[in-house]
Amino acid sequence: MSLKDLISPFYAWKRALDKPFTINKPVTEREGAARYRGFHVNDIEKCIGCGTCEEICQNEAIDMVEIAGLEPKNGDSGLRPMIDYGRCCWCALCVDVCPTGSLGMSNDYIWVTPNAEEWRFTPGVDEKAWKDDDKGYRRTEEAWLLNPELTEMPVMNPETRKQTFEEMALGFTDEMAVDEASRCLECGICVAACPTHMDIPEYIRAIREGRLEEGLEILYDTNPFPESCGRICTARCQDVCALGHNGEPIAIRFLKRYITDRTVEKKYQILGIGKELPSTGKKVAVIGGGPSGLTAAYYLRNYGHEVTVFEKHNHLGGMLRYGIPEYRLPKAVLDREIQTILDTGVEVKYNIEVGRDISLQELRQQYDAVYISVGAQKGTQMPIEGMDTPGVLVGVDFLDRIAEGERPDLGERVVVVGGGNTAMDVCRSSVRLGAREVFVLYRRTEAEMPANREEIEEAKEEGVQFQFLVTPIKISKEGERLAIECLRMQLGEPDASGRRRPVPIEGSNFTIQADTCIMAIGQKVDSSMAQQVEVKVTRWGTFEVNPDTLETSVPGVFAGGDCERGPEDAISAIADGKKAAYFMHRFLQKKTT
Amino acid sequence: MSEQKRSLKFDSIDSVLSFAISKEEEAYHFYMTWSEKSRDAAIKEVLVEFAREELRHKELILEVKAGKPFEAKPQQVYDLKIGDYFVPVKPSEEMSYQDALQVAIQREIGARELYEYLASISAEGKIKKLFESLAKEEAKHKMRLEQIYDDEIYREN
Ligand SMILES: Cc1cc2nc3c(=O)[nH]c(=O)nc-3n(C[C@H](O)[C@H](O)[C@H](O)COP(=O)(O)OP(=O)(O)OC[C@H]3O[C@@H](n4cnc5c(N)ncnc54)[C@H](O)[C@@H]3O)c2cc1C
Ligand code: SF4
Ligand code: SF4
Repeated sequence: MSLKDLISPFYAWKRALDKPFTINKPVTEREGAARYRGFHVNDIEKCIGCGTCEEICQNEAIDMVEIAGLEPKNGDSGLRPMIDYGRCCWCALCVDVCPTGSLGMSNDYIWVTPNAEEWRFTPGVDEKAWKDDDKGYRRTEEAWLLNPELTEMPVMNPETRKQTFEEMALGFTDEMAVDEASRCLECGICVAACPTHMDIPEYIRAIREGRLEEGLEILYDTNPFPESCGRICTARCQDVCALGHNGEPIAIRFLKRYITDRTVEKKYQILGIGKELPSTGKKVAVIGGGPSGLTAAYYLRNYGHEVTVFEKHNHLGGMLRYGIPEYRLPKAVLDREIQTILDTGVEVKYNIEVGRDISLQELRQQYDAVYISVGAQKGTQMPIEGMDTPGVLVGVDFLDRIAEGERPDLGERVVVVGGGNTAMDVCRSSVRLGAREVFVLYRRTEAEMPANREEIEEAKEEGVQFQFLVTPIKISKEGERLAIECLRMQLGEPDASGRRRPVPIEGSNFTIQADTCIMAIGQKVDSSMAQQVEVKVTRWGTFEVNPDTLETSVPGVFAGGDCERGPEDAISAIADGKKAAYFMHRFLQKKTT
Repeated sequence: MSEQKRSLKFDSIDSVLSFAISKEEEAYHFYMTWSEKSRDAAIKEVLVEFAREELRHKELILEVKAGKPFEAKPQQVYDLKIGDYFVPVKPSEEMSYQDALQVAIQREIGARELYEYLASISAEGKIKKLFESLAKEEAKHKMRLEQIYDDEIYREN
C-alpha cells in the first residue's frame, strides 16, 4: 500500500472547513409550461360526483369522498374525487374522461410535505395555492374520451305523421342500440333521479353484452310498464345523465324500449308469468286500473296476495289509454303489457265506479287492505263566459273520445288553450283529425311552458302555431263559428318569489274565429269517495298520505299516483304503486285476521 | 247602482272606518258560515283561513282608527285581472278549492269597486283619500288570491 493511500482519507477532512456546495432548494422555481400536468384542480360547482375519474384511473389513485356541507341532490352524488399523489402518475386520463369538464390539472408541480396524509387531498375543496389556477392541462374536444353524440331514433317524417295516429317512433336497430349503449359511463347518477330507481346502468350493460333476457328481468324488478315507459316516460334519468353536461344524454328511454321490442315474444317464459305464486290468503282491493294501480297489483300478486282491481272504465290503463294518444303509445302495446300483469292472476271488475256503485267503506270491510289509485281525471275549467257553447271541449274528455275510437270532425280551425302535455296531445291529435289550422294559446311565454320540449318541437314540426302571452276571456257563437275573445298579456315585474306573472295589456282585446276550442289547462282529482270512510284529503282534492308508507289517515287504506300527487307522470305513479305494494305487504304480514 | 251604495253617507273619517270594519266583519261571518256548511274538511279549513284573513284586515283598520297611517309598508300592487272575467259563482256546500278561491276573488273585486265608487263620489279631502286607500288595500287582497289562483289552478295555463 502506498503512502498516498494511507493518508488520503485525511484529505477529505480538508473539505470540512470549505463552504458547502449544496443549497437549501435544489432547483430555482420555474413555472411549469402552460399545459403542464401538475396537481389537479376541480370546479366543485361543476363536478357532479359521477366517479368516472375514479373508474378510469389505472393506479387507483382516486377515491370519491363525502364533503362537509355538500349534500347529494338530483343529478349530483354529493361526492368529490380525492387524489392520492403517492399513486398518481400524472397521466391525465381522469381529466380526459371527465364528462362535465370540471376536472383539470394546474401547472403547479413544486410542493412537498413530509406528512403522508397530506399527499391525499380533494382538489377544489382543500385549500392549495393552485386551487384557482387557470394554467395547466385541460381536456380538449379531441382528447375527450367520451362520445357526446346521440344515436337518433328513426321517426316518421312530419308530413306522413300528420295523416295518421300510427306510432311515429320506429325503434332502434340492434346496431343503433349497441352504439348508444356503448356511450354509457355506468356512473349511476340516473338511478337516483328515476322515481322507481330502475337499475339503468345494469340494463344498458345487458344491451351492450347482448344479454337482453336479463335486461328484461332487470326492467321488471322495478317497473311492470317498461314497454309503455320506453315510449312515453318523462325520462328524468336523461335530465341528469352525466353526458348531458357537455353533450347529449344517453337515450335511456329508447334503450329500454329496445329491450322490450326484442324480448316481447319470450316475455312470459323469461319472467315466468303464469307460474304458481305463493299464497298468503290475504285479499287486496285496488281502486283504479291506471299505471299506479296495476303496478301495485303486479307486485302484490308477486308477494302472494289476492288482488282485485275495480275499474270505472271498460278498459284498463288509465291516462296511458285515455290520455296519451296512439301515435305516442299504441293501444296494442299497452294491451299486451297490461295482459302480462293480469296473467300473474289479477282479477278485474270493470265498469264499477267506487264511491257510486260500491262504497269505499264496503271495500274496506271486504278486503284486508285497499289501494286508491284513481288518478287526476277531471279537466280543470276556466270559469269564463261561454264555456258551455257547443264546440267548446275539455281536453281530457276529447282525448278520451279519441281513445275510444271516435274521430270527431273538428272543422278547419281549432284553438287549444293551455301549455302542458295535455295541450300538446290535444293540438297534435287535432292535426291528425284533419284540422287545417291549429293554434295553441298560452297565457305565458314559451320558456314557462310545462310541456315537454320534445313535444313542443314535434307539434311545431306538424304545423301547430303557438300564440304566447294570450288568454281567452269570453267565448260566443258567431254564425256557425266560435268567436273567442282574447287579451294580450305582458310579463310583469318579478314578484317576491322572483316570478314574472302575465298581466293583461289594457285595450289589447282581439277575437279569433274557430270551429272548435279545446280547453287543456290541467286536471284535478275526484276524491269524493274519501268522505265514505273519512280518509283525509287536501284542499286540492288529493289524498293525504304518510309520505314514507303511502298509508292514508285510515289504517290499511293506501293511496298513490296522480290522486295523491296531483297530475304528474306515469313513472311517479308506477313508483308509488311499487312502494305501496311493499308497505301494504308489510301491513298484511302484521295483520292477523 | 245597488241599494247599498245609494244609501251610504259618510261625514267623518270615523264613520268611514267603522263602515270598513263592519264590512270586514261581515266577510268574516260569511266565510265562517260557509266553512260550517262545507262538506269537505279541507275546504272547511280553507274557508277558516279566509275568515282569519278578514280578521287581520279588520285589525289593520282598527289600527288606522287608533291613529296609525295606512300603507306603512308601500307594496307593489298589480292586477292580474284573472277574476275580472269570471262568470259569477255562488258558494255551495260542495265548493272545491277552485270555487272557494273564485268566490273570494269576486268578493275582493266587489269590495274594491265599492270603495272606488265611494271615493269617486266623495269631495276632495281626507275621506276621499281614505276610500282610495281602502280600495287599494282590497286590490292587494285580490292580488294575493289571484297569485294563488295563477300558481295552483292555472299551472298549465
Ligand atoms: C293527455 C295526457 C298526456 C300525458 N302524457 C304523459 C307522458 O307523455 N308521459 C308521462 O309519463 N305521463 C303522461 N301523462 C300523465 C300520466 O298519464 C299520469 O300521471 C298517470 O297515468 C297517472 O297514473 P295513475 O294510475 O295515478 O292514474 P290514472 O292513469 O289517471 O288512472 C286512474 C284509473 O282509475 C280509474 N278510476 C277513477 N276513478 C275511479 C273510481 N271512482 N272507481 C274505479 N276506478 C276509477 C280510472 O278510470 C283510471 O283507469 C299524461 C297525462 C295526460 C292526461
Ligand atoms: S369525472 Fe368529473 S364530474 Fe365526475 S366525479 Fe370526476 S371530476 Fe367530478
Ligand atoms: S392523472 Fe392518471 S393516474 Fe393520476 S389520478 Fe388521473 S388517471 Fe389516475
